[in-house]
Amino acid sequence: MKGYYDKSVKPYRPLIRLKVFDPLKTKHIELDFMINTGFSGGILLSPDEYLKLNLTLYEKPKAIGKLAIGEAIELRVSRAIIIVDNREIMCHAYTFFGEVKPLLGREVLNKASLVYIPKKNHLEIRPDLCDKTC
Amino acid sequence: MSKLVAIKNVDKDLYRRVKAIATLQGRTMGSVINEALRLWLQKYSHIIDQKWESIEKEYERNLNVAKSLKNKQWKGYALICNEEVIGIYSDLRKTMENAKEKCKNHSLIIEPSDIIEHEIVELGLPVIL
Repeated sequence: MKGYYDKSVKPYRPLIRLKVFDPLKTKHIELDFMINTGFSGGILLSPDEYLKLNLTLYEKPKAIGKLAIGEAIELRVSRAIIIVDNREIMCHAYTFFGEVKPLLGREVLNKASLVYIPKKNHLEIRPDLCDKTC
Repeated sequence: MSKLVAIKNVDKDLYRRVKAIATLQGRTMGSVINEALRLWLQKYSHIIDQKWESIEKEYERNLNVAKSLKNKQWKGYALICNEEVIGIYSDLRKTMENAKEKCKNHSLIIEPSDIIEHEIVELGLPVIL
């Protein structure tokens, strides 16, 4: 599945458009996620997006989110499904009360292969490769 | 919106200390104040949103019920909503189906280890900066 680079900011931001479902697949939204290997969770959503998917119905106890600048914040945690190349990936979905840009983190990336070549404008996630090797 | 905002009663000593660090980091005071305002909003904006406020109250009540399971022996997934344990299930999907059917705004779906350990998540930088 191909992503793209947002060239309005430097260095370019690697983005991928994905469908996110609630864990029972009754609701979905489509978002541009920034691929972020510094984020250890699955996906990060804004509080509004989290509510749109009714994710408060499937929560776990809150987690502690640690920023690279040393700050710690409280995160709500739930479950969600994302679709990558027709493959469903169940992952944890997080949110907090702040200015949140959707992030795709290592919990999902570790279940796939990532091709990241900004100079060739090439960005791709391949969950199929991971099936054979992970 | 004007770029100039005058604020009264700023603690001068606090301002000087922040300014010293901002200078060392090569940042403007404007960017530091914006960051501080975002962090403050992140901490308190839920107060404004009544929907989130009621969900937060339900969360706290359900979490107390979850903590009461700490010393009990159980396996699988416990579904907690409306301040009670609705059931303990071996299958996550079945637990979530029950949550959708029986809980209105909020439920906790927990495994035994969720009560003992606080999950720590690395967020990286770009979330709020």
